[in-house]
Amino acid sequence: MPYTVIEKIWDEHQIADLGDGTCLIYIDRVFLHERTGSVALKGLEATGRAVRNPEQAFCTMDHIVDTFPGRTDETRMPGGTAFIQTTREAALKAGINLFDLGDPRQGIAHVISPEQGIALPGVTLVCPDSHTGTLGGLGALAWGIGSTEAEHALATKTLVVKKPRTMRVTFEGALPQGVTAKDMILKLIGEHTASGGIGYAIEFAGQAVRDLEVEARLTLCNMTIEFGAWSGLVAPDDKTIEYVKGRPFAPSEGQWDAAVKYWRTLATDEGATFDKEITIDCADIVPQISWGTSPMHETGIDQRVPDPASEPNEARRAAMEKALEYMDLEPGARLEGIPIDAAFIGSCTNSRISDLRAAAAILNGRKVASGVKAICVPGSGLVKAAAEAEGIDKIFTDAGFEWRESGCSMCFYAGGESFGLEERVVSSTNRNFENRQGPRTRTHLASPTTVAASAIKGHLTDVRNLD
Amino acid sequence: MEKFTVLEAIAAPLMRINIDTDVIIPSREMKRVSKEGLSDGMFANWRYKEPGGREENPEFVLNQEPYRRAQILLSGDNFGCGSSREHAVWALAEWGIRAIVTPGFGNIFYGNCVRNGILPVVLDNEIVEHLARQVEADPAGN
Repeated sequence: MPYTVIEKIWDEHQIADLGDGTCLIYIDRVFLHERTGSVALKGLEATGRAVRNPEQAFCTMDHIVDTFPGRTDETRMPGGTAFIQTTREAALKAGINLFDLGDPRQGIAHVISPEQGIALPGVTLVCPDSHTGTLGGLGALAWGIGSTEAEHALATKTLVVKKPRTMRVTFEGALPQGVTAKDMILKLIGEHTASGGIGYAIEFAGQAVRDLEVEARLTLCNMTIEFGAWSGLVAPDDKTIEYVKGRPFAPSEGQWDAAVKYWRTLATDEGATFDKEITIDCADIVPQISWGTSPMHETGIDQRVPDPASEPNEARRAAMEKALEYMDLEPGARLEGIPIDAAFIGSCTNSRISDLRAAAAILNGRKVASGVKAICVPGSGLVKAAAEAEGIDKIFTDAGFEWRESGCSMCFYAGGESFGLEERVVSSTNRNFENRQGPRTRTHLASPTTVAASAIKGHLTDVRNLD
Repeated sequence: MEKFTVLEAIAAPLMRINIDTDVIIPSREMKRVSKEGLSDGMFANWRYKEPGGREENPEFVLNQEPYRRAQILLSGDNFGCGSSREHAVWALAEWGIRAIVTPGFGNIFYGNCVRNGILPVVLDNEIVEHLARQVEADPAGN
């Protein structure tokens, strides 16, 4: 019988079918961070339970640490220090792998997890963080959970999981110039809504997906949660295997050939069926930009702010009206040219070395428009070091960007730092929710190149038109 | 966790779609490594007039009678989407919410509800909207 890659990984990890639509699933690796992991570790301790396989559990500091040079345990966020220190103490006591402040490997969970070879093709990986699906970019079956579930996974290496329906999203053709993985996923969410993926595990397929480098696949899978999906992945291929090779927590030399042999089986069989199929023609994708307060509120940068009056669905129309009021935008206004106050490059979506290189290519020899606050936060200490070795930091700072230490930062008020009241920000992050990046801050989601181009011009900019 | 058997309670209509967990409990309201003390920050950006402030916004439904006593929330599709923060559920539960009725939940939020004694109820959009209209017509009698 032909199987999808999702079913293959699921079946490999299924311990028991519990008969009510749920299964007991073996969890290979658990990742934690100081905001939600701290509670999970404390919960375990309080009930006198231990981490079952400490060597398969990992913890970083990304959500509350501040990202200013010379940082310490102190944060701008009141009480933040307690999160950091509680997590550190509990992680050390539990004996799990810790990427602490000061460790050159420290960074955003979903950036360091691929970087360290913690996420691998075919593994199950969970983290009390909604963007865990990112790791599907390597062919892992990875999903976000709550803190209580994280306790369970740490103590037992298992979780009860509702069996997802399967969906294949096929991106046909080649990506046009100036269009990135970020634009692909935004396009999907814009067309099929923020709830279009609820209950599904997604396989991303098609020529454009095969053409993406591994880091871009991580970006694509990162926002499956914004589509409402349970998880999403790209079947591993030569690029994936090449990427994984030699990473610290990847299979060692003696196990490597067996691992590769298994990973080669992780493709959807000819004739396997999905519960739902979506096809997108890449020729139709231009650089995307969000205009509202849900990731589904997005369109091409060459378009105008949509008119709620043209939305037939009453609930969606009401949401659009609220969103335009919050964003202070008028229906019919051209998106390109809307003035911005700030630009942000960072987050688990777009803070990897390839993202920084692409943005630096735009910024090189140019200056950020006067009055625009521009910030770049590399996704990990290793990304930052690699960028500095290439002189990318210099390009950013010469252009007028701040160059920070790694962490989640301004994606969501991490470390207590935010953009100002009602400021308009173009951001390489994943959520344009109300108040996400600051009090009444107005977020426009875009690719790092669109953010860089907009920072230069001082307004939302079509990167394809930059002189 | 309080056992869930039969619930007869006031229902509050909060009929927006895509109410995310950042709305339910903003980042800056998660101040301590604890599951407790979060209800004060619940819906802070809608419930209070100023960012970070505590002066009530009278237009927010849970600041109105009889909804201050609501134990059931009626909501638009995709309730609890976004961040995995279980703090959203801890805040709602501490405030007194026991059941949420919506056409659809964010996956992680749904799981968090079950683990904390909040009943997540999925009903067709038409039915939830009908219930919301009934509640609005007779708030105290619902």
